[in-house]
Amino acid sequence: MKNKIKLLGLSLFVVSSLAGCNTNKDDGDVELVYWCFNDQVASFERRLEPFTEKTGIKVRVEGIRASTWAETTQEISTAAYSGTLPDCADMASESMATLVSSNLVSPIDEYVTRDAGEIADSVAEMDPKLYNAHIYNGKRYSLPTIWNAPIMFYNKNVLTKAGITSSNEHYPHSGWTVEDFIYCCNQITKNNTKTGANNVYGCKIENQYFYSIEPWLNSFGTSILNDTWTSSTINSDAAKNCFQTLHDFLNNDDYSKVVSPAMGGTTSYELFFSNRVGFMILSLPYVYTLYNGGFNDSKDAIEKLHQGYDVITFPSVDGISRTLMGVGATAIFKTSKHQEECWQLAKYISSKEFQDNELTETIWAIPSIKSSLDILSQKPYYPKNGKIFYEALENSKIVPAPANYSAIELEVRKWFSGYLSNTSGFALSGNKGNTLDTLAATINSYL
Amino acid sequence: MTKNSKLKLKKCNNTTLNVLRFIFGALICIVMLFPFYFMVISSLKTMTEYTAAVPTLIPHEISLDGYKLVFSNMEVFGKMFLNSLTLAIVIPVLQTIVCLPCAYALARLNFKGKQFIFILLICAMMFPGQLTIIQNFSTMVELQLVNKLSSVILLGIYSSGAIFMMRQYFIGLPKELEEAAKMDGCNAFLSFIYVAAPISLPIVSTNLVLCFNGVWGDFFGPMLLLKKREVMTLPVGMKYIMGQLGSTTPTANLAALTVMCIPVIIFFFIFRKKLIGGIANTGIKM
Amino acid sequence: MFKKTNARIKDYQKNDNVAYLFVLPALVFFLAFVLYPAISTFRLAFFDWDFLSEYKTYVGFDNFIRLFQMNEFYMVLGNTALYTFITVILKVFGGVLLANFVFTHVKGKVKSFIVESALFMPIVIPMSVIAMIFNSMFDTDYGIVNGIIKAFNSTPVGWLTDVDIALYTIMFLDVFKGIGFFFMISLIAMRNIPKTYYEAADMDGAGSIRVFTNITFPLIGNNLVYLLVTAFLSSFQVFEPIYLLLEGKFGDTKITISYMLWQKAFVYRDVGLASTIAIVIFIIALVVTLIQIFVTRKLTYNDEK
Repeated sequence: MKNKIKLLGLSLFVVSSLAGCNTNKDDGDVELVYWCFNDQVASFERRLEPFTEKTGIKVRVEGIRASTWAETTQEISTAAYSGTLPDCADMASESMATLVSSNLVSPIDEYVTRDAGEIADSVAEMDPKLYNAHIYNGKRYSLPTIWNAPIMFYNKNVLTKAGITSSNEHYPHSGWTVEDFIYCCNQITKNNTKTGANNVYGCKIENQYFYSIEPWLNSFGTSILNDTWTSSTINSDAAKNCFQTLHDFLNNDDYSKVVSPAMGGTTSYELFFSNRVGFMILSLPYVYTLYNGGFNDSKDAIEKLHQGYDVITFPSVDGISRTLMGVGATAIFKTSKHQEECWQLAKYISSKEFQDNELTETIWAIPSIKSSLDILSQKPYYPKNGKIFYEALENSKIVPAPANYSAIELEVRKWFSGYLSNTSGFALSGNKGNTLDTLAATINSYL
Repeated sequence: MTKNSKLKLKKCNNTTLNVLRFIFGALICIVMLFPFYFMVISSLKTMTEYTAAVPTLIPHEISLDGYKLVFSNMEVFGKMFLNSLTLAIVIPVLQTIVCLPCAYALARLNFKGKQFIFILLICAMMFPGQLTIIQNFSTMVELQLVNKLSSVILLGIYSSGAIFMMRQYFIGLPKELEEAAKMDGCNAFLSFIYVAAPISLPIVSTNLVLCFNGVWGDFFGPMLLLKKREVMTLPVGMKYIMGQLGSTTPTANLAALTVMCIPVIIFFFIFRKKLIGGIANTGIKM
Repeated sequence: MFKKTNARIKDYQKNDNVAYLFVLPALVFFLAFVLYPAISTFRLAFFDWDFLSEYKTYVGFDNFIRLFQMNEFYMVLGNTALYTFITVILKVFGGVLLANFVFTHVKGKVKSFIVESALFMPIVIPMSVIAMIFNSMFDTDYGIVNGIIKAFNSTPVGWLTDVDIALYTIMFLDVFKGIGFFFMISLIAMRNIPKTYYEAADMDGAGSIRVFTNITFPLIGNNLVYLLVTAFLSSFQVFEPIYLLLEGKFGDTKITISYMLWQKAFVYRDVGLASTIAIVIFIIALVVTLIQIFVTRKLTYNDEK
């Protein structure tokens, strides 16, 4: 009897431990484990089906929950520690340097030379900037998959209501300035009352890195790091100017009021939809979201869609349009036992075949293959000024992404949130507290 | 002052006071229940009404858009719901299996080291969760149980509070029943199985209910250990869902939150007496 | 009779060996997931580790020195102290006062049911749900609270976006969620007081306030210890609302110590420092709890005499 109970207890323990365990793979077929972001899992499973059909290599797509690159690299670190890294993953500029410096990913130079003929068509369609985006320490670690750039979307309905038509000199146009931008926002918020019904706002300043801090700094002609990523320029005069402008924008009544900064608050698409905000910082994938969300009362009116919004580059201080970009990569982990198969997958994702067919149906981001983008830009819902998505490439800088990217992102966002909310102890410069100078010093310590 | 006039004075004050008291009581109920009322009606509003600058307390128009969006994402949401439910059922059961015999032994049986073990277990009640979480996480990483439900299950099985509560219960039981069993020739083990266990049903069910509630709302553990889409639980997943759905429809967020509350509210009304009784037991007898 | 006494003596001397089997599973889990981690954390505080490296570097008391030199640490302690103090007082004494109100003035099954359920409801609802509801309700632009304020033509308040107000909003959330527990326990304790006391007070013509201070409160005094200790421990370790509502705001100046521990451990991956913080939390919790028990015991004994 005692033994029976012991056995029962033991088996219960074992059963509970097995709960949630994955079933064993059979040894025959190769199955790659591919990590992407949680919200892309379903799309990837669909997109990679042709790959499995063609090559017989199965791909199990798993999602990681992360809203910042810091969280992503944490996930990968934990997996590295417990020996549960995937075979390959969807990474990007921001994380590749970290992975390379932690010696987790395999270079692909040999594969590229070996299969040069096969990928020639696809490579021909890639802008050199993209093609060489993932070369670190002289070695190439990935072909470009997609790329993304934060762009300013503007709501035409809101502008028209504020009396700004396309003939107005301050209307968003190529090379427009911060003054134009502030003028528009002012007009938009002129009639707002403090307790207002249906108030409309100019723009929304968010405590985000890729969609707020970085592009704004970029349009002011500066950045968090210098061009060689060896020292921080966040305390440069241009940066001070940038942050000051954003701060006044948010806090002064004379400038345009912004909707509560999204430091955890409600997000903005519904505002854009309901014509409550004039400008919003988004990127290509949101073109599709806006289309799906019915950016007007009737979902079918594409014309209305085109009348509803359009895209433009960031306003600048000197009339030069600048954009920022991050380039996607397929990271092949050194611990993977299927290096060759991973390369096949990576090749496929960066191929003309895949991007022309798959990435034009469900938008992931800007395809790195130009022909794919051409096909995409023919879609009826593509914004009228959508050509800037590819033109942006000329003036684009890649986001500064040194090995310690996550730590830097953390520190910058921390300072930004303190400064913008008028928390005591946060200032642009000075002797005490958290200033841009102390921030620069902190960042430099991470380089 | 005669007794009569004193009573009269009391009565006059009583009516106004009574009205005030009623209002106060009603106010308490309103304040306590308002957020849930808000959650439910907002989930039934249309987006335009929700974002109107003057929010309405009673929706002009009922719309199931929020719920439609939640259920269209059923694959994601449903999986999270199932994960939460699995944990909320498995953990209380295992906890009872592990803790009940221990509580019984500490209450009723004599063995060397009984005092020592009891004090040890009670000391653990003093440990804040933060003291153990870092190493527990590390242990789970080494066991390769991260992103598997079993990690949270293992961590949830032991509960000092449960042992304590059940022990109190056993101490409060009359000894006659076991004496009778002993007369009939049962040893300690059998008397547990045939006497104590069946009698412990009230406290077991209380523990099951309390534990269910605790696990359903547990955030910290699942946040650290269950990050992949397939194993996420509801509280953690909500934050992630709100980033996806919430981008276009806060009413969908609130709809998801409402759905998340439904099991616990049902549980609450069914097991009200047990829940309250259980909490009272831990509180009063200390 | 003779037989029974003999049997009893026999019982006492005999060791119920099966007890070891009963205790074993619980003990195993306890050792693996409670005791071992606690000891390990004490040990980790003397090392420098980042969860990844195989090797942990011994740094002695460096982590402690570093922690006590951080301005951030004292600021966070201050936030936590303020938070704990206010929420404990409001939860415990609010709960007791509400219980007294319901005990003396709410008669009738239906009314009692409604009031008790209303107060107890937030307990069963998960904290994360309540936090997210509050996030929507107190939203500066679309929240219903500001909506009502706007309807009266006043300026909306930045409940969760104003650096000075945000923490208080979260304190309100904590009290909202927790008060039902203290309310319930006090109410049940009050209901257990023998009616004779009240009848005597009634005959003496005592007013309701005196009844409360001289009868009700002292007689539930025993529970006060438990209530205060529980309230303190739960407020002190608050994490969820801070994580869900304050993340990325105000330059992390309003966080509490539990959040700081999580951040140092899992975001900055400074495990040694985080372990040090864990030890500090443990010591503070232990000391304050002991003080509370000691002080409250003294007070209630005096009253009972």
